[in-house]
Amino acid sequence: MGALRRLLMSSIGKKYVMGLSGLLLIGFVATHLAGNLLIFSGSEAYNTYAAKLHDLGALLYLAEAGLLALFVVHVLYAYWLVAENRASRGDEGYEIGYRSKQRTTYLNLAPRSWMAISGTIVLGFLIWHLIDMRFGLRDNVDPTFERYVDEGLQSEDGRPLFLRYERAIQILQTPVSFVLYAVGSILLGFHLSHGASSWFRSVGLETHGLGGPLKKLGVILAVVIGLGFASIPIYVWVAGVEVGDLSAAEARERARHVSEQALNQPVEAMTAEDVAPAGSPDSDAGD
Amino acid sequence: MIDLPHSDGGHLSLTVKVWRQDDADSPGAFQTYKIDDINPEMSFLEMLDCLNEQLIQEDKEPIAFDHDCREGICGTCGVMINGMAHGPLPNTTTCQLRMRQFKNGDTLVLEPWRAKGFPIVRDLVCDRSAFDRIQQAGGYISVGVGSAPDANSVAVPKKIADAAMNSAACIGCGACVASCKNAAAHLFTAAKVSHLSLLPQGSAERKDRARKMVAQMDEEGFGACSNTNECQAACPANIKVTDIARLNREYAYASLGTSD
Ligand code: HEM
Ligand code: FES
Repeated sequence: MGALRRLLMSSIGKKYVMGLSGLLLIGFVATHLAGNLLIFSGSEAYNTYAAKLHDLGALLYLAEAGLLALFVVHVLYAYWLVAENRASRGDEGYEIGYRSKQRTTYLNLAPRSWMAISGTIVLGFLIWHLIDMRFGLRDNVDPTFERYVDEGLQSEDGRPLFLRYERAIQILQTPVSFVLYAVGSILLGFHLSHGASSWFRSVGLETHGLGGPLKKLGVILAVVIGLGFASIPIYVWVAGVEVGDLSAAEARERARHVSEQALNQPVEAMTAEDVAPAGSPDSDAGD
Repeated sequence: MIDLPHSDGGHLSLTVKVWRQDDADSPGAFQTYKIDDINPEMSFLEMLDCLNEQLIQEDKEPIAFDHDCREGICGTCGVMINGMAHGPLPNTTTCQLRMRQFKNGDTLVLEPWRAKGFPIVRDLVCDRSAFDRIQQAGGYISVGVGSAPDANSVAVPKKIADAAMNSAACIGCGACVASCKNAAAHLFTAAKVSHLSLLPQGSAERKDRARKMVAQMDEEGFGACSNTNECQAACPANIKVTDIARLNREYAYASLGTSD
């Protein structure tokens, strides 16, 4: 145990942790992108994918917990390293700063010099992303959630049925989310254009002659991930994707269809009148 | 490379802004000096010699700077020149830098290497004994390797011999630390570990070497490596960052299981 502790406290061991957690995060991010690009195929494809994913139940919660742990580790180690690295310069830094001797960093715009800044912006974006997509905490963009649940939109075992496509579109139509998702995605690409190849060296896998090609592959991956994610909010805005103001009946019909098609789960036949609490403002069922 | 100014051969008049500090405990400050009639063929250190003669004649304290061989092999010299370790040229020590790289009327800002692991001794001189301690922690071969073996009796493939030789070129000047945003000493430590561990005689103590040298490096207060490659760009001995990848590999191997 002493040896492991020593390893994880060393300057090199910390970078193993950064590199490996970063690599696993890239794996998640790539999968997440692949799934989300289904938004281009429209409501049915996306909702079917989402329904299947969420049908994983406990497994999904386990994956989410693992993912959260990865992020926490990556971010804590990042700030730990940043603090230690700053301290290593000593009390008296360079008066005029230092100028890079590498051509590409003459203006010092290279992503490798901005990992903490790009990472922090990505972190801010991720928190926002969780607030509006994972937890649905912004009530101004939640027409397909609780309201319809109140109106009987649930499967036989009582789980609510979500129309995730419609909700995602409505969230991305708000200016705040549009801007944050576009900026967050680009910054993630920027972060990865260093990170996606840097981890190879951190864990000791880079060998002579491999550095150049790895760097190029990393940049390609970063561009695909950055532009891939950014394309979603941009598409929603530029193409003016609309989901309309679904009535409860339409929403239930869509959700029932997805649920039955994707999961082979019949939706409990309940009517809004059976479920809606007295005095519910949502009396548009059957419009 | 950076666009390098090149003098037209005429003598240079320069403004030199130098960090002056009496000792580690005194506060330091920049002092600005004017110097004329610098021959562009002079080395950078010769320019400093001229400046010091001028200071002595003016009854001022000369600038302390480190130097020894003045031919790029001892690694003693090392000045941050306009924010670049050893000045603007690649693969060059301060003593090998010629004044023709500067233009008439230029202002040169000279600072010592800055790192927690390299405390200031005086002016441009810092204490690099941290490197000696890293070396002493494991940068040697202590197993008996016998007397000089017959030529070719210990077979070392040419590729390995070349790689070890390239790493052995490190002169320990500290430019890697000085130019790194984290003041990390990984390039130095990686060169020393690579040099010895690649060779059959050195491989017997690979694990202990990597473990002990890295532990010492961390203890001296140097930072972690962010893979920005600035060290490689600043290194006068052409040490490559692939050595850092090897160090990371050696350290992983050393951390698995027992010692040698
Ligand atoms: C989806 C999100 C993220 C992914 C996929 C990711 C991926 C990576 C990868 C692969 C590396 C390279 C590690 C290495 O050099 O060995 C890295 C480095 C880094 N990441 Fe992230 N990262 C993410 C989010 C963040 C966040 C939120 C922060 C917040 C602070 C952050 C801060 C850093 C820093 C500071 C480094 C550089 C560490 C160093 O070289 O010293 N990252 N990241
Ligand atoms: S004085 Fe020896 S390397 Fe410059």
